[in-house]
Amino acid sequence: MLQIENLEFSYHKKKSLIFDGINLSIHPGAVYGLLGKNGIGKSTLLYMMSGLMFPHKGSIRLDGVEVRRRLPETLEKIFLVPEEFDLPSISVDAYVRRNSVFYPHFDRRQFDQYLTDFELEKTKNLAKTSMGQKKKYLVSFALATNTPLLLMDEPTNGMDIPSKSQFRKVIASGMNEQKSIIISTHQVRDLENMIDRIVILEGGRLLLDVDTDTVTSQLQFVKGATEADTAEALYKVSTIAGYSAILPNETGNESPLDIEMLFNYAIEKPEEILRTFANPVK
Amino acid sequence: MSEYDITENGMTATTAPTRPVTNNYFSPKRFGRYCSKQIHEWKRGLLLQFFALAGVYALLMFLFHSTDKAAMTPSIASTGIQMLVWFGFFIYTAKSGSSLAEQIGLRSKRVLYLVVPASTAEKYIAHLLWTLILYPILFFAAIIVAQYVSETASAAIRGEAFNPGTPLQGLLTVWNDLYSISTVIVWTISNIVTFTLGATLWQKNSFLKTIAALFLLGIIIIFFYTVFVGKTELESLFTYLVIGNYLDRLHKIDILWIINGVTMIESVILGYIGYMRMKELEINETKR
Repeated sequence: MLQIENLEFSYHKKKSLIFDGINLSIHPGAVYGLLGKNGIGKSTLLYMMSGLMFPHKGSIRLDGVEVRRRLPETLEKIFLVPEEFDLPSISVDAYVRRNSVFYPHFDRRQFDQYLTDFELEKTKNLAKTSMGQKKKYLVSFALATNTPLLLMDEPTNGMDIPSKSQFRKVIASGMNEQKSIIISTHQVRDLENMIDRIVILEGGRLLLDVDTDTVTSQLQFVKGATEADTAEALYKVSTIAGYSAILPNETGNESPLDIEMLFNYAIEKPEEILRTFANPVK
Repeated sequence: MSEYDITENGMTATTAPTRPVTNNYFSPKRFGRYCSKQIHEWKRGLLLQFFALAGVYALLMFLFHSTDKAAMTPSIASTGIQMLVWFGFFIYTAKSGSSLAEQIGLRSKRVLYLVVPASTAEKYIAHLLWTLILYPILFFAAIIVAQYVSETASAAIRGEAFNPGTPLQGLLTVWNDLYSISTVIVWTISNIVTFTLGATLWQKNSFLKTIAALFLLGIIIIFFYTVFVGKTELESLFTYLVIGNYLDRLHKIDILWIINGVTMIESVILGYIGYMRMKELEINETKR
């Protein structure tokens, strides 16, 4: 569906490349977690995927059409929930009526259901809501558009703890086999039990692009282990309750994925994780 | 299962509508939807502008009224008010041209502006349409309201005879001849297109920066004109064209038509540059 080929980009000619030859394919039916440290280029990549920024080299195509052309037929297949945004000073209903017409698969009943899930009022003026509420309104609208590609930039920023679990529930209920959702965040714990595929950006390249099943079939995540238990660990950190560690999965039993541990392991030992997944740097 | 037939959660059966071939450059239906969206989002702001304009001009007309002791002439017909209205009109249309910067200035607004599934041409034409038609209508409607409010206030406060005159009295004399009509239209278009281009160049303080740029451009032209007019060759050319026999043969009104024509061509060029800049507009990653 979305194809990124040899993507190169830098903000200033003299500075090093933000993206140095990135290749990535986004397929329908999966939730992608786009992870990376602050300032690594996650937002920039999302903006490029939605045609709001242009690559210096390479291409980004949605169903074979360059997204940078910003053709209406391309834009109606993409919905971007930015990290920061302003909503107009109109009611929720007016917003939906005026904006849903641009999205041919928009479903009003779904939207109302998401508002219920988020415990949001249907009659509010959008400009008079908090940033967290605005996000929930926009996420609800975004999911109800049923665009094949949904991009979310730090969607849980500004949300309180109950809202984050509501967010997980809404994403799960709004997902289907025709959609791809890409969620960019540095708050990796917010994505737990929600994503199907992990993409980690580091040093201008894709360090990891792997599905979560592959991760759990090859790695074992343990918590509260003793030092002796973690002698073979690929990566471990000391916690109050003992050691949290990543071990090679030699038993075949899958353990719950700890995205934060995996992320730290990938950042600290990039060569090792590449070897583990036999996934050459793209 | 066809595309989008059913959602995973079984909540809704959403049948994919039969879609016509998408026109990616200009679709009247999509353009209408885009205009409707903008009007609904701006209506409060437009209403505020209307009342602000009506209030300011009502006050000005009320103040001007005191200069006419006999109160025989409605304020709007006085030369001072007429000048202020036309001056205000050109400032207002210029400011409305610059208002594009408000939609694309902040990154948080620009993102949502650019991702709306309408073509750049539709977004650009919508902006020009508002500034060329909607804002002038709003402006002159506010003037009519101001005209009646000021006369009512004069009658009530000063005890003068209520004499509002005809709506927009004296302001419509431009419609008496084709040249005046074309001049007002051409210069309004030029004004709007220039300030719209300014908005695509500078998103912060766009209005002031465009004025400064025009002022600077004027100084540069005067400077070069002054320097080069001394050169014999250019002096000869200038003499031939302006003072000599070529332009002499033209009637004064023909020269004015030429000026309008040149202004229109300039507007088309600036408009095209503005459109191309809109097409290439990107999000500034200001975090960096």
